[in-house]
Order: sequence, then C-alpha cells, then structure tokens
Amino acid sequence: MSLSRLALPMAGLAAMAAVAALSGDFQLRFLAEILLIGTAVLSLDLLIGFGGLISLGHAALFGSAAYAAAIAAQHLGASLPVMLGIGIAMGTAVAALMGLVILRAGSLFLLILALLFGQIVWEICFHWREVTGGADGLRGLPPLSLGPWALGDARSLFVLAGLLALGSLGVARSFVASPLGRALIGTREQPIRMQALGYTLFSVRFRALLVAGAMAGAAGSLYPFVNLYVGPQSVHWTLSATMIIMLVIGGVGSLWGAFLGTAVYLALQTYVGAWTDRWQLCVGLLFVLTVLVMPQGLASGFLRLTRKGRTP
Amino acid sequence: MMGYAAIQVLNALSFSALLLLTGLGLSVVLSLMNFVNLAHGSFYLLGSYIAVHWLASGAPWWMAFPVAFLATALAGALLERFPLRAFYARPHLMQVLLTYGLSVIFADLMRWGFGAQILSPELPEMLQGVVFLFDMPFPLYRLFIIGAGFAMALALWLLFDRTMWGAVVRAAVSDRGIVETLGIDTRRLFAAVFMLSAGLGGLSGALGAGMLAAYPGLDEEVLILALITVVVGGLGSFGGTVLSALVVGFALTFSKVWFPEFANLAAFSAMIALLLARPNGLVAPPLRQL
Amino acid sequence: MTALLQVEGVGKRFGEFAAISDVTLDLRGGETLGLIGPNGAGKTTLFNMITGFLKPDAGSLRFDGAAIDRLAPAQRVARGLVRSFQKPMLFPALALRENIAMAARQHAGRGLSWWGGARATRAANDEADRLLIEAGLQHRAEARVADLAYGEQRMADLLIALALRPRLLLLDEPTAGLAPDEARRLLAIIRRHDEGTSVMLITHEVEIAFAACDRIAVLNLGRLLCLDTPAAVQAHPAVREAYLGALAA
Ligand SMILES: Nc1ncnc2c1ncn2[C@@H]1O[C@H](COP(=O)(O)OP(=O)(O)O)[C@@H](O)[C@H]1O
Ligand SMILES: [Mg+2]
Repeated sequence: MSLSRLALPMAGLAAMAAVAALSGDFQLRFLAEILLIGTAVLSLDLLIGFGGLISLGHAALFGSAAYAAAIAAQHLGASLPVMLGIGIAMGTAVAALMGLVILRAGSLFLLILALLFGQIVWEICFHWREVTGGADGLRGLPPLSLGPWALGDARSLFVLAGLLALGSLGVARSFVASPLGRALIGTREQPIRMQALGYTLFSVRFRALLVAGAMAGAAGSLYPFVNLYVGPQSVHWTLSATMIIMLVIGGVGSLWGAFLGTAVYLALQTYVGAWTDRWQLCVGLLFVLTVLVMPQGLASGFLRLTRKGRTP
Repeated sequence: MMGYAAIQVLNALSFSALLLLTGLGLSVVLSLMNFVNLAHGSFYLLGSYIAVHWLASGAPWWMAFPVAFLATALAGALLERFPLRAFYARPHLMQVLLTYGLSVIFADLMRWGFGAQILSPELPEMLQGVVFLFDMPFPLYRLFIIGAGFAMALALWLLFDRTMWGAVVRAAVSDRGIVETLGIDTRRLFAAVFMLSAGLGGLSGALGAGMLAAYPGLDEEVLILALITVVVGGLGSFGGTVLSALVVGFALTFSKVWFPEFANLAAFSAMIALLLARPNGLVAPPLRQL
Repeated sequence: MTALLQVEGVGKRFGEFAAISDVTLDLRGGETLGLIGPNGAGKTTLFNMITGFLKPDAGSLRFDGAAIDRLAPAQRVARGLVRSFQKPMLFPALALRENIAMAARQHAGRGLSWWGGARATRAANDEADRLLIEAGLQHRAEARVADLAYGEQRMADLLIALALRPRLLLLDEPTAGLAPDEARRLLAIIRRHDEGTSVMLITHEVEIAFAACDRIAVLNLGRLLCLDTPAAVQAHPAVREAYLGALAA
C-alpha cells in the first residue's frame, strides 16, 4: 500500500481528532450533520458523476432509512450496529424498488420518474401518521449506544459520522476503480457500445443504485440521532434537489467534493438563515450562481488553483 | 348517486383542463428545445396571484386572463433571454439545477411580495354560485374553467396543426436540422415558443386560482403534476398530452374520492404503473437511436 | 461446412419505407462474407437486426443452430456475435487501453465485479496491451480516445471488438475514410484473427470485398440481389446493372 493512499485517511482522522477535541457541542452536531448528509451526497455522486443518472429522488433512500432507524429505535433501542444494519437494508431495498421503476427509461424520464417515486415515499411518510408521526415527524428517540457505551453525546456522534464518511469515501473510491465502476462510466459515455460489448445497461445501473442506496441508507440511519428527530422533509424532493446542488457546488464526480459542497451549503443556510428571513432567496441565488459561474464545482476550482501553484 | 358521480366527473374535467394548459406549455418546451424547465410552476403561481389581485382591483374581470397570460409571457421572454437561452444545449443536469434554483428564487420573491397566506380570488358575480345537476350543486366557475380550458386547448391545436408557424414548430420537434436548413431562425422560434409556454402556465394559474386558490408551495405541486402529465402523455405529442391530462385529472380526482388520505399516493402509483407498461408514454414518438 | 448464421426472410420497415425486405442468407462457419451495396441499401439496418439493436418486422434469425430472435444485444454478444460500428463508437473520455479492457473484462465474465476486481483489471489490461502491440498502438495506450487520430480510432474500434474473441465478427465499413496503408494494416489484423472467427464485412470499396471475402452478398434497395463467390458476383448481370455499372460509368 502506497504512502499517499494512507496519507489522506490519516490526515482525515487527525483532523477529526483535533476538531473533536476543540469544538463545542453545537458545532459538533452541525459537523455531524454535514458529514452524514455529505455521505448521502457522495452516494449520489456515484450515480450522477459516474453513471450520468440524475436522480431527483435520492432523498427517498436517505430519508426512508432515517425513518426505519428511528422507528426501530423506539421499539428495540438504538444500538449502533442494529441501526446501521436497518438503515443499510432499508436504503438498499428502497433503491432496488426505485431501480425497477426508474431504470427502464431514458435520461429525462428517469429524472422525472425518480421524482415521482421519491414523492410517493414522501406521501407515505407524511400521511401514515400512526407510524411516522405525519407532519410532526418522530421525536423522543433513545440515544445511540453500543453495548454498554452511550454514544448520544455530540462528540461521539461527530466521531461516528466522521468514521462513516471516511469509510464511505473509501468504498466509493474502490467502487469507481472496480470493473463495476468502470462499466458504470461506460454506460454513461456510450450506452450503445456497452450493449455491443455484452453489458446489460440495467444490470450495471441497478447495481450502482444498490451501492448508492446502501451508502445513503447507512448515513440516513444515523441522521435521526443527531437532533433526536426525523421529519418528512428528510424524504421530500426538495432535499433531493438540494443534494444535487450540494454535489454541484462541491464538484460532480470528485467524491470528496460532496462533503465540501454540503458544508458550504449547510453553513450558508445556517448562518444566512440567522441573519435574514430571505435565506431561501439567497439559497436560490447560490444555486443559480453556482451553475452560471462554476459548473465544475468548488473541488475542481480548488484543484486547479493548487495545481497552478505547483507548476509555475 | 348518479349526481355525485356526475359532479366528480366535472371536477375531474376542470382539473384536467388546468393540467392540460400547464402541461402543454411544459411539453412543447421539453420536446422542441429538449429543455427541462422546473420553474414552470412559478409561471402558474404568478398567474394565480395576478388574477387574484386583478379581480380584487375592480377592473373588468375578464381581462384578468389575458393580462395573466401576457404578464407571464413577458416574464418568460426576459428569462429566456437570460439565462435560459444559453442552457438549451447544456446537459439536463445543468438545466435542472438552473431552473430549480430559479424556482426557489421566484418562490421566495412571491412569498415576499404576495404574503404567505392562502389567497382566493373574488369571483365576478356572473361566475359565482352553483348550478344544480341531478339535484347536486356544482360551482359555476368550474364549468367556466372547463369551457375556457378546452376552448384554449382547441385554439392551440389549431395553431399547431393548421398554421404555417405550427407546422414549423412540429417539423422542428421531429428534426431540428431540417428547419435550420430551411433557413428558419431557430433562436426566434425558441424564444416565441418559450413565451407561449410561460404564458400558458400563467393563464392556467389565473384560471385555476378560483379552484385551487394561491399559496406558497402551490408552484411545486403544480410543477410535479404538469411533469407527470407530460411524461405520461409521451413527449412531442399534442394528443398524448390531452389524453394524459384527462387520465391524471381523473386519477387524482377519483383517488381523492376513494382514498382521501392517500390520494396522491394512489394516483402517483397508478401513473408509475402506467409508465412501466408504456415507458415512452401513452402516445410514444418514434425514436431513432442508431 | 454448416451455417453459423442463418437469416431467413427478414424484413424491416421504418414507417412506410421498407429498409430491408425478405432477406435470406447464410454465413458458413469460418468464412468471410462480404456485404456490399450502395448507400442506403440497408446494410447497417441488417447488422442492427442481426445484433439485436433493431427488431425485425418479419423473418427469423438463427445463430449456431439456435434461434436468437428474442435475445437482447448483450445476450447475443455472450454467444459470440460481435459487431463494430460504422462511426467509431468509443468511450472518448477514457484511455485507449481502458476502452479495450472494458471489453476484455466483460469477455472474461468479470465486467461487473467489484471485490477481487483488481485481478480481473490486470488480466484485462494485459489483454488490451497484447492487442495494442499487435496493432502498433502501444505508445498510445494512455491517450484519451478523444485525442486519437481518426485512423487510430477506427483501429481502436476493431480492437475492442476483437477483445471479445468473437465467433462471428460483424464489421460495418471498417476501412471507410482510411488512407490506403491504414486500411491495409487494419485488414491484415482482421485476417490474422479470422482463424476460428467468421467475419461479415460491410464495405463500400468493391476491391476490398473481392480481395478479402470468400463470398459476397449484394444488397440493393433493401433486397438481396445475389450471394455468391466474388467471381460469380462480378459476372452477375443484375449486380453489374445496379451497382458495378454505376461505378464503371
Ligand atoms: N432508425 C431509422 N429510422 C428511420 N429510417 C432509418 C433508420 N435506420 C435507417 N433508416 C433508413 O433506412 C435506409 C437504409 O439505411 P442503412 O441500413 O443505414 O443503409 P446502408 O448502411 O446500406 O448505407 C436509409 O434510407 C436510412 O435513412
Ligand atoms: Mg451503413
């Protein structure tokens, strides 16, 4: 294993340790939220950045896993491996169902079918009050735990979210480099040729969607424990659209940019929201400016800058 | 019972008329320019607000509709010039992001300008009240929506099917290259079509205000329904859009009757089932891949 | 020799227009069959139906004795029915080696693997390098396909097809637009691989067909004019009239 392959995760762990030691409660919970949503955005990057599959229903995978974990926690308690297992299972299962629906059509129809599918999941979460709490969502969840250890405090949540994010980043990298990931790129670049090579487009895309679903599900399963709450906006299509925006801000196809974009977006939302009622307007302007001014995203802009710095 | 069914059928028809006008606008832009406009719902809601304020102003009531059409068409024209025009040739992802971002901006601007409460228009006297069908009351205004909506759709059909301009648009939908080699300025054509699309959105909003009212968030609801209508109908087909507006309108209305709590769920699922059976829509255009 | 591919009474209409009408032909194991005919004769359309990208309106297809009409393109590839495209259809953003490895991995049955994918990737890269060396393109292995010259792209298109180790290789005008020496190199590579591989070759250049093919099928206006040895085709009156005559004039 080369040094550079280890260097990044090590740097990540070191940064996490420093942040965990130095930050306050509010910041740590906020950072945990960034890391969890960022992981979901990372999983979306696999679909959009490598498969060209623009899903406007990705929040359904993340949010349904969050609900599944929250509901399970009320009955079984919030043991970490159980929550993760349930979230991953839910995310994968919903992704499988979604794949059967959306992967049969071309790009434009896929986008709209994914939106429809996501809204169906939202309708279920919003209207099935006895189980999901309807518009109010679910509150009063037990804190996360692992055997005898309680993991409900901000520091533990942050560390868990960080480990999950790092792990997911590793999984995503290995996926992209694997034959399956290459095949996914092939289906984006030249779907007809891929068929002429003996690949079935559906099998390639379906597998990618399952991987993304599992990853989004893992992130979703921890999400309710950050604020001990989960509500229907975590499944709504506006979150799906927001995830795409986060991805574009960070840079489509860059993997780690997913976290950058999520951080920038959530920070703006939090700090601008505190400063003016018109934060939606600001967010909208941010979307539009991102698309107009730097469609390649921050990650690539950042890389270009550092590269310029290195080669005079 | 008979009366109740008739009332629901009329309800479905009035809803279908709104979907038809909104959907046609979205559909023509999608199939002609291959452009996904997620800000289409904003035109609808803007049209609704214009109608509400016009009808409250005391000016001749019937002018609310042409005014809403023209105002939103103008807004569409400005928007088309910048920034949408530059995005016709960009990937769908970028179009989606840009227009979604715009819709968020417009939603907040409208919330700012028109308030967050639910506004219902003061209907003109001659459209107030109810008519009795099989001894059941039915709002007169909804009959007006059905009449005006389908009359407008008929006019559009004549425009697309019987005029030279319509022939050019149809030709451009099936083969962009042909129209360009004929020396027709596609830029102006696209601008005109986009204006028409925006205007239709505003007009359906103005008509729909008397039925659905106007409130923040309605733009999104309408957008999703219009997208469904277009997709279910099949791209690039006028007849398909008419058929699917009816299908979606009836499906939503009757699922509200039968499963009030899970109306959208039932209707959306039905639409997905329909699309699984006919992945290219009810009236599928021929596609040339190779 | 038994027929490897049997095309029976196949037809295809696009709206009112009959692109292929009632074409029946067979391809024997091991042979190189030329398919010639003027532009718009329906050659590519016939390929699209044989490889499953278009559904015939009429007729049936058998490959190696079994009906393949209901198989998807990918399933036909799995049986050894491999095609190239008239316009090179490559993965422009990927490196040349990766383009070929994409095919080699799928042929090895590892196209969708993940865990343990490293070994599959290495084997496929080796296979790609072998083909690149054979074509004299090893120095371009890392180049993005979009940056290759047209002749190199055509060659890449062929190498991708060869990496699938076809039993029947269908080539759609592989030499179109190539300089004579480029075309010669490409044909030499095809010839080197045609042991155990049958070839169906669409071409515009009649000389190539006559030089490289065991038999030649002539298509005109969607109909099969004749299917015979090069010498017999050359002597066929209808062919002379419809096709060669036009060239000779
Ligand atoms: N998908 C399609 N839709 C409509 N027409 C087509 C399609 N594919 C081919 N054609 C028409 O069929 C005819 C035969 O085309 P093709 O098979 O490409 O000819 P060739 O390869 O012999 O030059 C041409 O006139 C072409 O325009
Ligand atoms: Mg051809």
